[in-house]
Amino acid sequence: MSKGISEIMAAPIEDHRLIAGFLNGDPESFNQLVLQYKNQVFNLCYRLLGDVGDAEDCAQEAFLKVYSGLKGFRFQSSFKTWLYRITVNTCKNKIASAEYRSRQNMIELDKPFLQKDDAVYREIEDNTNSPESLMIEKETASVILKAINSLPQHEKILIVLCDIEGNSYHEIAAITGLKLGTVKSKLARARHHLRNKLEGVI
Amino acid sequence: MNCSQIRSHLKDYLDDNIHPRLQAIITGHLSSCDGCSKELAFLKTYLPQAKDIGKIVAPPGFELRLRQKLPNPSQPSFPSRKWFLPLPAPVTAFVGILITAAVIFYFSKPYKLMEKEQLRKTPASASYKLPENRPAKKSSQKKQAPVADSIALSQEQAKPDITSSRTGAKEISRTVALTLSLWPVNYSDSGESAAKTRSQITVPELSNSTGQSATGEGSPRVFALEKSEKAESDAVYSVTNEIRGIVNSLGGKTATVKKNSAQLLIIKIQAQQYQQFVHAITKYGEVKKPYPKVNQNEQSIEIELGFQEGN
Repeated sequence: MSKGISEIMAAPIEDHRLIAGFLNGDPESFNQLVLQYKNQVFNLCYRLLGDVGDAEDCAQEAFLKVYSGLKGFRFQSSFKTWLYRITVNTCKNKIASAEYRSRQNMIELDKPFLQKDDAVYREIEDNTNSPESLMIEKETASVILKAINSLPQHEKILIVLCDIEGNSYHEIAAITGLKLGTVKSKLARARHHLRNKLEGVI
Repeated sequence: MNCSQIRSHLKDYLDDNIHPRLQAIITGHLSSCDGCSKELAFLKTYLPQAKDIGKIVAPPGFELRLRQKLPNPSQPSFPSRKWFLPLPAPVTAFVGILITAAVIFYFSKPYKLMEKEQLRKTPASASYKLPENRPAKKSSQKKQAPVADSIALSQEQAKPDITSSRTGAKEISRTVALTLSLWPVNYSDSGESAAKTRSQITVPELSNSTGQSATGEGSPRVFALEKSEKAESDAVYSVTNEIRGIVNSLGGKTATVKKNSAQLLIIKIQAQQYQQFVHAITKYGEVKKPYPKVNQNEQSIEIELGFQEGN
């Protein structure tokens, strides 16, 4: 337990050391930051976008923004929070883009859609190439994920950041720019919506 | 505390990450509220399963693809950091100001002086030629054209005959690219020469088209077009005559002047006919710059046209 806490406390210091190294002209420091956070950033993107290709695009775009914006990093906040904020905003932009929306509106002939309780289900699911198939084995978890994906975007972001990614309320407030009380109340409302969607499952 | 306030603390309550006093309040509320109790029961099942959804790792080659997108530090973008960084900020700012001032000076003052000098050396040589086949009509009401001393536009030109005008013009033997770029010239009818008047070319003030120019209240505006480098060529001559015919058909007047080996056609046309005129001349080429707005209350507009022969 104490080791976990010490690791958590050491993370910002390590991040700041790597950032300082990068600002002093050491490109390897940035590579270290990418290695450290690539899975978290990719996972967040995938949870918010639901597509591996889009998630990789967004994750890379977020790292590119970090690369060009690190000069302005003031070492007053956590690098992780800053990185997550950039990632969430990049995903929001992607979701708002015309190309993404048009793709979401397209219905593939071999995968007819069934809409039920605002959730989108496919009659034939081909998960052979999806990382989901490797990671989600439990039926309940799969249903929960579908219910989360059917939430409105602002609720989905909060649920993913808190319940899946395990960020604290304070971190979510820093990432989203919302007040702490607003984060708590919005999360409570989002969970209530989830409960309605998952009635009978949980 | 109401239900929504209680529910916003339920996760902390479950995690035992809450002040004992608040914990007591929530426990008391849960004992009496069925909805919040169900919410708590849901969270007890949902939260661990949500955490179990699992983390997805980035696809292989992620860093490599990212590295390819990163700007190459060995190829710095211009201006080079190496070139600029050794200079202290005030020096860089000073050099920047000097360069800006030099550019502004180069493109403004010397150019204006040069143009004025040329205009001073070039006497106003504007003259008006009647279209060849136009029957010369005498009018009792003659009016001095306000463009210049040397340009006398007679009232008879206001009665057009496009057919006769066109038959008098030579046929267009080849394509002529007509480059039109209109800009207003503040005009004064205080007897200044045409050359001097044209030197008062200013940036278009499209919104200020009431006819109240800076130098002459109520005087018509003058619009100038680009000069032609080959004013004497047949093609330009033909187009000049064609446009002259259009102007005459719309009740306007024309005169030609020479300036710096360029032939300029000065056109006086009613404001109401202006749009029609512009529409008519577009067939001679693409009009690249936007037209100035013409106030319909304005009595007339004077235009100078210049042509540039295409390849």
